[in-house]
Amino acid sequence: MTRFDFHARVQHGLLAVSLAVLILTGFPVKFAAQPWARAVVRLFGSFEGLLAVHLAAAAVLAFTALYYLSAVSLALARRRLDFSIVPRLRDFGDFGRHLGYLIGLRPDAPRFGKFTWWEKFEFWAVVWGTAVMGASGLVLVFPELAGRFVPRWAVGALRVAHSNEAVLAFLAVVFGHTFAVHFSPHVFPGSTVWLNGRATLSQLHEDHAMMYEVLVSRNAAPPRPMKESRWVRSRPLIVTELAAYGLLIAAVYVAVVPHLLGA
Amino acid sequence: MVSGRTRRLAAVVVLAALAAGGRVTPAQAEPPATGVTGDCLECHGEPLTAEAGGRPVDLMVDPDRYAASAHGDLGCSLCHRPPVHVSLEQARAAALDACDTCHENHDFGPAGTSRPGFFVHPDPPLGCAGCHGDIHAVRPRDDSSSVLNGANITGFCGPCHREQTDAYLYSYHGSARRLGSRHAPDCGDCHGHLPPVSLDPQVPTSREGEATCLACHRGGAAALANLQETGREHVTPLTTGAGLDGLARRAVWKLFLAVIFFNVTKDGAVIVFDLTRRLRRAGRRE
Repeated sequence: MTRFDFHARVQHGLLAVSLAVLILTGFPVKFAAQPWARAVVRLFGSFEGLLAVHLAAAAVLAFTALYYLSAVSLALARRRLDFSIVPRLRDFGDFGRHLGYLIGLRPDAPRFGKFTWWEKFEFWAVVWGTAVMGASGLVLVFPELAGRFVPRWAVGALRVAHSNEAVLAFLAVVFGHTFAVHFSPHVFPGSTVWLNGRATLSQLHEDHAMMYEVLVSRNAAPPRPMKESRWVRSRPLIVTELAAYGLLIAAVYVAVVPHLLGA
Repeated sequence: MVSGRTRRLAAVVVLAALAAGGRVTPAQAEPPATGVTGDCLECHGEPLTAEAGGRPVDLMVDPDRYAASAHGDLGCSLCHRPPVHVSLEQARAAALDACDTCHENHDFGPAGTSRPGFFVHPDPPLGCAGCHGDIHAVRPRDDSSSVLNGANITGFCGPCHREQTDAYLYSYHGSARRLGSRHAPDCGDCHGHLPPVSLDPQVPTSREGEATCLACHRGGAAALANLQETGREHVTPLTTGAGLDGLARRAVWKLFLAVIFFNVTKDGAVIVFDLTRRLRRAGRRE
């Protein structure tokens, strides 16, 4: 079933590339004291080169945001806008039911519609993140202009926001997004929705049962998917992923919790 | 191995001891026949201490570091004019005069000849080594190993101006400079490496008031007027006693830490429980 049309695939591609470049060229500034930061700067020839690439990637992200907003506006004008990405109360219940199922408190998995609770969460996190990074980034890159209107304390706070939202976005990709579309055994080694726009029947059955049922009612799919990814039953893969994600989660806790609880 | 900072501190101790006016009592008090480097280093090139004011003073000059320094080709007697092996007070005055021979447009602190508009480190008063480190190992400022070069200067200003230096390194200016930017200012670019420097402690910048920022941020006069009224420089999320400047940064920082914690916990729980459930199921099927 088609989940990403051509424009969505282009927008996703631009977002992915610009985000990766922004992280690569932004983290050395945040972690300037680390030895690897200088190594990354050398990849770009100089600090000024690194900054130029960062700003160019920011321009690509801004273009992507405008591209998306244009498409939304056009769809709205034509009364064809799909509001199914908007969170509903049911999504909060889905989150609880999903966790209950994963823990083993509920026998059956919740049945999701076009977008799961985590997909909606990710979407709005990207909207929020782009707005925060865009606004704070503009203030930082044009201090002579922004400084006329924004108080000094707020400029400082926006820089803190820019720096920390970057880490938040990076971790959201590393944990939520990579698992959902790459490392979850039922999509491993990766969903192809971002390439050809289509999800497999087994992926659709697991993540979007209500959509799958629409296909069944149209006789476009069997009552249950014929084949399942072989990785779903791969114990080495699952054990390796458990260890890797466990270590990553522990590393983030060690880095974050002392600062969170400290003075 | 003795670090550069230790050597700089040693140099400061030497000057402090010199200022205390003690008398040099070298372990080997034989005066050199001439003032040339080789002869001096026969004694001073090896570990050599003296006592001044009841405290030991390191009188060793590392021959290799000296040879590689900006003064390496001058020879000892240009600065240490005979008679050498005099009282520390005399030696200090002679050394300051010696610096003035070449660096005549630099003020040398309380014992020097203050010239209006030239740099004086206000409090505490520092001699040459207080800023430049071990004079026998001093490097030109454009040498990347100089204590006054770029981001190195923070290791130099930092021991006394810890809070400001930490905030500078946290700032974009400091981060960019540390990563090799030639445009981002270091401490001295705003506060003065050399004259002219403002002597007004309320405006401790090298040029009068706003000219310091506007030298780089051209066209930012209106912004500067607003920014100067609405906050201060050298503040991090950990800075206390900075009012709204510190509070706003700290609040945003803590908020994001909490959101990061929440998000990783949410994603982590889903990942770990999902994988654990699949592992149990995979085991049953096998």
